[in-house]
Amino acid sequence: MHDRERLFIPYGRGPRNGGARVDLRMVAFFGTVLILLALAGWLYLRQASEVAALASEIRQLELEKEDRHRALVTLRGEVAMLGSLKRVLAEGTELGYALPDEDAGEGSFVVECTADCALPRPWVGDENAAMERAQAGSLLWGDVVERLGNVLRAAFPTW
Amino acid sequence: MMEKVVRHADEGQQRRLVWVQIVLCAVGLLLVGRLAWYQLFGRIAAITQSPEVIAAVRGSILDINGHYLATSTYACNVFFRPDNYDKPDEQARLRERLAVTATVVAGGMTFEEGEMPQGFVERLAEQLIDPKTGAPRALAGKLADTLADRELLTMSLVEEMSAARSGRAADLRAQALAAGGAMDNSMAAMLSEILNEPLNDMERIVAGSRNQRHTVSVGVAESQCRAIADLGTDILITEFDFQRIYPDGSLASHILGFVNFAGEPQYGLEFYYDSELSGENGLWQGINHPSGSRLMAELGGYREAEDGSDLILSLDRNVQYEAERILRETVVSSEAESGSLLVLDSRTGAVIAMANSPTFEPGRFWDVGLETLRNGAISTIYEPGSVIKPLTIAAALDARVIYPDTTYMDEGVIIVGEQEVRNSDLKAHGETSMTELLAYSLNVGAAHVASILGPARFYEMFKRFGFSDPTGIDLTAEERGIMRVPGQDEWHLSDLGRNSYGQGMSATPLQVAAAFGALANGGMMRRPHVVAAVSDEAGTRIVEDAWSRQVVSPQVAEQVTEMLVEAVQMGMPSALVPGYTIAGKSGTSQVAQEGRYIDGYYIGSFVGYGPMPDPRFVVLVKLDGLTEGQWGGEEAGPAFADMFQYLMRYEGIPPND
Repeated sequence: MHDRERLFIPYGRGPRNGGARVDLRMVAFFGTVLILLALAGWLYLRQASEVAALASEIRQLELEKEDRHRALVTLRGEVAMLGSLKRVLAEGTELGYALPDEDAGEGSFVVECTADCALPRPWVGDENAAMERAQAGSLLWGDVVERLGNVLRAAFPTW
Repeated sequence: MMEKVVRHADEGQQRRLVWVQIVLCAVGLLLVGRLAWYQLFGRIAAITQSPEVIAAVRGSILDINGHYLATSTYACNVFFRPDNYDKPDEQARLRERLAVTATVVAGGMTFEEGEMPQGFVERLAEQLIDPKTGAPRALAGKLADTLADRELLTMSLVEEMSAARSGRAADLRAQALAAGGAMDNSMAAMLSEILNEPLNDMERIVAGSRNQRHTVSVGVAESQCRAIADLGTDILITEFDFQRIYPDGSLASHILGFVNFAGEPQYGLEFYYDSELSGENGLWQGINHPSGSRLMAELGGYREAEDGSDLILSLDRNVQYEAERILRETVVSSEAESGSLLVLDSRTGAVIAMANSPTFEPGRFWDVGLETLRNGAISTIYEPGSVIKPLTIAAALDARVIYPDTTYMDEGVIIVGEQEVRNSDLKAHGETSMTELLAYSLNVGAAHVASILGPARFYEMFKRFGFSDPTGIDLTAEERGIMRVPGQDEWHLSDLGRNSYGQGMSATPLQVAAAFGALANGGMMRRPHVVAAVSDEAGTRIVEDAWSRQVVSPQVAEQVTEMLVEAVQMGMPSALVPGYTIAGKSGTSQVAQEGRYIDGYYIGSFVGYGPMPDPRFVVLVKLDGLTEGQWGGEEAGPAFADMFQYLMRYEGIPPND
């Protein structure tokens, strides 16, 4: 058998003095395999790194979300305390407000007024006040008309 | 020969190459296999830890106007460690920091930024200054004077911060601190003022048991908490957590209930609606860094918490406040032991106010006994007494055994089931109308009407009015009351006589108010309820009425109402509301104990509704522990009138009289 066949190298002549014969195709083959393996490894590591970075970012966002949620809850608690009756009463007193006198009885609330109601509707026991208001109203209107007339006369004396 | 040598060399080379190939292939297969394993099946199971709970925030409870009655906040608890307090070096360190900070504040000393003296705690200093005036609080001076020799300490601070330091600062400081007095009082005063807690409570904690840590304050605001934490001492421990707060203190406490230290709801809405309020905790499971911090969640290992739903009540905070005020003052003025006041919307059954006296603060539930925690309006049964009479008449009218103009002959006594029934005034009133029966609260008349009606129809109607069955209100621990009925071994015909005027049976104040609500609402009775709507991220859903039923016809309800309007004007003037027409009935009943009525102990009540002609509100006032000579109409009637007048003013309903 020829030496080439025994060595199953398709071609290539090695030196007859016993030195190694370099088969370029085998070198290329194994080199390619190594490169592919390295590439796969690099891709895997890169992917794992990206996943880890993303996971870390997600974790940071989760923590931030939890922090904001706690802040929101805290703010809501503060809103609740600020709106408490105790504070409202205290601040109102400081501002000069007072609760309605319990003896105020009738006349201490806004009375509904129908469309044709020009003046507050009188209520029982307060008829005199209602009449006084009606008179005051007519007097006021008269005063306005008179003033308007004076203004017009001053502006247009020849009319 | 040479050819043979060459042949051997070639064979050796070939073998080496083959081995190289085999090794490389093996390495390659190993790498690929491992990669495939990680990609498809791999889990770094060794460093995955057990799930971490993400706490859900408990939902809030709001009144009809959106005011918070109960909510959660992220706040701090402060604890006191007496074992560390007793350690000399720990106490000395705390003394130094308190003394230095107080001396700086009290002396108005100022320093360059970044050149604060050693031991100065900036956040604590902020707490020692009045935010409104900017002046030091009295506490600062007190701490400075008692914890150290103030003059010496001031000198040491000046020495420390001066440019030409002579090195005496440390000695002066040591001398100043050594000259300080005992720390207990200062400690208690500091905690009391900064954390806004009663001084005697703080003194008790500081001097208390040395074997456990003590809770100093819960729900502390962040600024105060950080000030305590910045002291850097193991004597005072701060822990942040979600806390339940009740901004209005004791307002509506019996309705709200509370959450105990273990986070468990107790009583009221906190308990009844716990599943809606508590939400669902979230979960985090994943990979940890060896230092303990979370790196990333596993696939499907993160579930965010779902906060609890909010409850929107039919309760009006302002009406509740007024109801509690009126009840409190009435209990005091009548020298009663306790009481309840209810306001219902007769058209819907909604509870607008529910007050009990005495009351408690949900945030300090440990301050009162178990009895005070009970909601008397739904959990305490009593014999309603004469307030039942209108219902007896309504039942008889509905059965057409009597008519509005029916009269009877009142001879002062009637026998029902071999038992005598007498009027409370022990008088005979002659020919009496139904209205007069109500106005003068005649037991004989009520028993007479019940006798005509007969046991079967009487108890059937009273069952329809809701007696001996819980109303189904959305609160815990509701009692159903007791009413013996024919067919039960304990029932006797004489019960019919007594039950007709509200004795020999028991009910809760809510049951009585709800029954009157039927009269006010054209005979239609609606289920009392406290929650109007439930709100969460998905939206707000209205709570539908669980039930309603026509108890008596609208005509009968109107007839009884007319009688009650007249009866109030005739016989219960203390309950009249100027400018408004109301219907109502008073009652005074005894309390049974061990088979007999207790002498000199009565329950007085008044229940009414209005304003006519379109009644909207039912108001019930009940007072426990009245004495001989006190009547429900005279003691509870004025409270009813006050409450009703407030309602009219608050709702802007003008007078109609």
